[in-house]
Amino acid sequence: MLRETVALATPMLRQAAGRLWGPRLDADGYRAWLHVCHDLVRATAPLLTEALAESVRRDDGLLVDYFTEQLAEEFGHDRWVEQDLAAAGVDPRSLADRVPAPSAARLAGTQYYWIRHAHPVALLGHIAVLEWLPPRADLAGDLAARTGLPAAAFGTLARHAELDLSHGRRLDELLAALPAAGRHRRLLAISALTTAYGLVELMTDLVARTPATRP
Amino acid sequence: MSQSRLDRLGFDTQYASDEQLAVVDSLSDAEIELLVKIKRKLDDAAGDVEGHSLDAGGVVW
Repeated sequence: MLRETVALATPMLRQAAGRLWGPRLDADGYRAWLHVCHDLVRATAPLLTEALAESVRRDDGLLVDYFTEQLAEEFGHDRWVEQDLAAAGVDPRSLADRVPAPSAARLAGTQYYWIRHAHPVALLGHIAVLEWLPPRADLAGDLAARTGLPAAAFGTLARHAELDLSHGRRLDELLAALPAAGRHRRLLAISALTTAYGLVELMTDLVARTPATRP
Repeated sequence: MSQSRLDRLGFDTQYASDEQLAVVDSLSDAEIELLVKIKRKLDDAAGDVEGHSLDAGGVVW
């Protein structure tokens, strides 16, 4: 059910991502994406930690196992983005003064709310949208050639092109094993679609900030 | 029911599979509304980016 629901939004997510990665994207546009990516990815381990704690509190063994595994898998990925930024010519120390993008705060903040005030299963809807649309394997190389930035600036995309495939499969296994309670199904669907909307908003905002032609 | 909901999304129902129609039927109004909002957001931002896109996936967390 979640897979089919996400599939309804996937063509629109592909369209938004396609505009972002299109020929207008230059080195400055890519750096802007890295900054917003960092805003988002820095919340990944804390969200998983929150979901794990809430799953422990509810004594939900399936979710405890899954969130424990994923926390180990995802921990430190914000450092990857920082390394990419450094390779792209940005001083990572500047991140300390950055005000995170509202679109990233809305995406992560919604999940904190649902984990705490509804059920940690909600986070699976968010994860599904993000893991089921991995970067294409050749995207990092294509962008490196197009922007003139070094390959080291694309580590996050390159690594996720591979990792997300296995993470997506692991999520499929968990979803198949979860009890299909009606309320949880609704929460999963609304979480996934809210994330899909948030991502389209985030990517659309980034594209809007990229001039059609730079001087 | 499904057809009118898909029409709101601007989907061409001619090509909707039975499976898609069943999924749409199972969605709540709030879920349909989110799909409509996504489509509106994309339509509003289309402008001069149409025709300049690369289908490469690419969301990470």
